[in-house]
Amino acid sequence: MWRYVGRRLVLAIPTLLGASIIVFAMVHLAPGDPIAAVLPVDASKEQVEAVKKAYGFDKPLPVQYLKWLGRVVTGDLGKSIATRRAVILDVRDSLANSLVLAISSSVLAFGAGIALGLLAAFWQGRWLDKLASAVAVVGVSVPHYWAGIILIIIFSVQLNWLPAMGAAADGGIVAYLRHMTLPTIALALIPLGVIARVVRSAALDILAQEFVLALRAKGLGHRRVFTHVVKNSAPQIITVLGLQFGFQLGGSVLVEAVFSWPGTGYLLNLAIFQRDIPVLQGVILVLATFFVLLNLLVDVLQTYIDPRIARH
Amino acid sequence: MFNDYSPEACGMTAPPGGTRISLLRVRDLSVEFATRDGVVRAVTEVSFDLSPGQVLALLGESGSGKSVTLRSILGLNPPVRTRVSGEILLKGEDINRLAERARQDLRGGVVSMVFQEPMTALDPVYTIGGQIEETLIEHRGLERAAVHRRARELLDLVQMPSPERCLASYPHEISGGMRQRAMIAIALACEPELLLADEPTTALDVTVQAQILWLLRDLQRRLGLAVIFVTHDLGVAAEIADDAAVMYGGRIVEQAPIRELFRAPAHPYTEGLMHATVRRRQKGKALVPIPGAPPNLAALPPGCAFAPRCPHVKPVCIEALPPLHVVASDHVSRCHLVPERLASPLLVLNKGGSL
Repeated sequence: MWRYVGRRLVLAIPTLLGASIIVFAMVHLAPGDPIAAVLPVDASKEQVEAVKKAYGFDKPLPVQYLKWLGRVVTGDLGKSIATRRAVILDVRDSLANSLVLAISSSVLAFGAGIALGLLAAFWQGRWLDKLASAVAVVGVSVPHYWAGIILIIIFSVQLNWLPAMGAAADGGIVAYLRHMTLPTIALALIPLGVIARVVRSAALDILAQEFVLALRAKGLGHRRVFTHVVKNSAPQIITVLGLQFGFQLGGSVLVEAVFSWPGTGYLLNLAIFQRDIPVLQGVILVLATFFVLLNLLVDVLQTYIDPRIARH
Repeated sequence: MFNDYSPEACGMTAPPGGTRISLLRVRDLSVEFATRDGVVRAVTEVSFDLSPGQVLALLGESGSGKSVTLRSILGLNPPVRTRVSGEILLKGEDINRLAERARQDLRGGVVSMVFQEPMTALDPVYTIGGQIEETLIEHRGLERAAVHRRARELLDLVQMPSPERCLASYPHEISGGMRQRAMIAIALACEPELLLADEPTTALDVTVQAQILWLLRDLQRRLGLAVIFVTHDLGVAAEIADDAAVMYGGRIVEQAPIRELFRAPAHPYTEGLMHATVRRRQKGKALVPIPGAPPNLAALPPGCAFAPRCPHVKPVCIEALPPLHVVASDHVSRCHLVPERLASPLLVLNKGGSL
């Protein structure tokens, strides 16, 4: 087991290197010259050369990459062009906010999605299944930023129950919780629908297998049969949960923008409009690392549940 | 080779409501599935009895209703779009009228099943030990240590090689023969009186087939188990069964003690099966397949279901369902030709009579 984890950790390194190359290349692929962004339009040629030298842009690309990578590994992601603050600080604060939202919306979406999916599978073809499927379809079909706006209109504007914007970072825990309620719901809708559908089909796959009949044939009660079905469909479900959690972490740009939630999505949005490439690189690199680690965790969990997966 | 045979032990001729001990009593069992292609009549008016310790072979091609009959005995047909009628009395209780809780106690406790393909019939993410133990816990409520000891005993009973290691193994880690032994151990865990074996040797290698068959026969004798052995292989049936029921198109078309069936088959379909099977003293002779295909259970003809493939077909066979003819004291056949093919006085039973 631990050897498997160790090997997967080693295998994660090339994936991370690949991600870092893409992030690094962004500077050179993005429209607009990064030098032009820091210098006034009428800068002289000497000034341009001096800045190029200062930033290391006069060296060949591989050398630039290795130097950049060396700094990144030590936690130095550079300075924000817009705020002159160290990128690592901005990323850290926004990541904390995003993590909170990702976790709360995932708990909501995973819990409700798994429950709906299992209900639908065990009552396949009856009204409960149809209701659960309808909820799931609505969940995956509604754009989450639109759902966010509708939630703001109902609960903030009409009913005036919950705040619409910001995170109230210094307003105490209750204020923080009140601020995160609406974005959590908006962010949970899509994964809820996706998970409900995946869980339903995974559980139905298992229910159709002969061993479920065999379990009933040896006189097991509903609870034990249910446990078998859940354990067998778990590897497939966990894969989706891992992916969805990753999306929650990085894919919430629009929802964070709608609710002005100071997370990574909000920061990304800001960085894109300000052409703040160091911030953009930092956020993406950190999110990519999270994604890789999350996939690793999913793989390890799967091996733990289904011993067949560890065989090669 | 065969167990001693007597009409009492067979029970086929006992009148309904008799006082004779009957472990299983099936009366007019019909199972219909509503599908997109219409109503599939998987099993039609099947009746038979089984007394303790008796081994009945259920013979027939795929789709003749053998497996559905077994599932009905467990009360495990799909709950939706299925219609089950008739009686299945297991130790006097009608499984179709019992509450689900009571059925769960019967399953595994009184009647167990061994499946054709142990790879798909065992849960892949539970160890063999775990799968035996949960059955014991469900039915017996034993403690951990007692459960483990009993699981170990069961693996010894089915002559599992290296039983201790096997308890901790997952199904994919052991061989096909070992998996089937494990399946049998699970089925026997709570000492059932009736074992349903759904082609338990078909999916195995030929050499392993023989081992599993010997094992089942040995266990049947030592434990006094009643067994319904579903197979399409007459040779296998001859090895293990006292009696045989031949199914075709969802009905039992012929039933007899197995020796009698081999000696004097009284239904053209049974004859066809024999011609298509390798037998002793037949070396050098070509096997004769039965022409045509099994009937479509969603569109059964009004007459005999075998008529389209029957070499002796007559107009009456296409028009009317043949009644059950008594061929000998405990030998019945559902064929119009029985009276003229056997030049002996015959009694014709009414439809729905005791089979």
